[in-house]
Amino acid sequence: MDWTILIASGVLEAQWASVDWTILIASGVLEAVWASAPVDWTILIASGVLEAVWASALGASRGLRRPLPTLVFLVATVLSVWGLAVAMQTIPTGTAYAVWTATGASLTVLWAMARGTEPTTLTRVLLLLGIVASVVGLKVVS
Amino acid sequence: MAWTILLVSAVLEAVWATALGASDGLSRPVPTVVFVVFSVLSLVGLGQAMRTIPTGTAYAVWTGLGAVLTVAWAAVTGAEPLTPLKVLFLVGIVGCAAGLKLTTPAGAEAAEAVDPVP
Repeated sequence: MDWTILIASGVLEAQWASVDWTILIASGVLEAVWASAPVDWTILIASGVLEAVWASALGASRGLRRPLPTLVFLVATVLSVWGLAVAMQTIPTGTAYAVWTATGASLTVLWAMARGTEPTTLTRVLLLLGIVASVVGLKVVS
Repeated sequence: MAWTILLVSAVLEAVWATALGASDGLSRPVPTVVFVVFSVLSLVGLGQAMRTIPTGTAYAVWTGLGAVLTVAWAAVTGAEPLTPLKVLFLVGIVGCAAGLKLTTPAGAEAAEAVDPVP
């Protein structure tokens, strides 16, 4: 019995240790991505995220009649467009626009699928992955 | 008629995107004004077209055509030279984004969220 507990503890310890390492390595990867991420591409992706925010807020505002979603819509719209304009100073216009609109579309759909308001099908997941892969590819060749 | 409005709106979408790129971070007045006017007209047109064309279809055509025209114009004017790989990835982005919109069921929240004239 003692031995069983000892071995079980050892197994738990090993699992815990490997979780630590997993988190450490994941943090290192994120750190590397963050450190190497150019400012203009970061602003561009953030603007795409804001596009999804304003699109969802617009839908929730019921024709701009509810104050809080309307305020979120206005602020997010201004920041999203401003960010796109800043990113376009260094990223070519066509590339920037395509990445911006695709980020917004992906997140809007992802959000709707997570909340269950839109169906999650294999086709749609593959389309989302296709967008992510294409954006990464475009960044690499730009 | 709705389809004509939709196609014109997509062209306007490409115009404002190009103007925004030329605005130097919204600091040059003429491209900035062109951007504001054409983005409003483009959204109004999309809203009108969506009254008869299903939302998912309308949005897919609008955003897809807008992106293709923006990239094509940048390539033709020499502002953004295209390479085969770049074309492949741009087609991947535009095609997948259009596909997502086309697979949006009618009446779904994300689809109505982009309708500027609810």
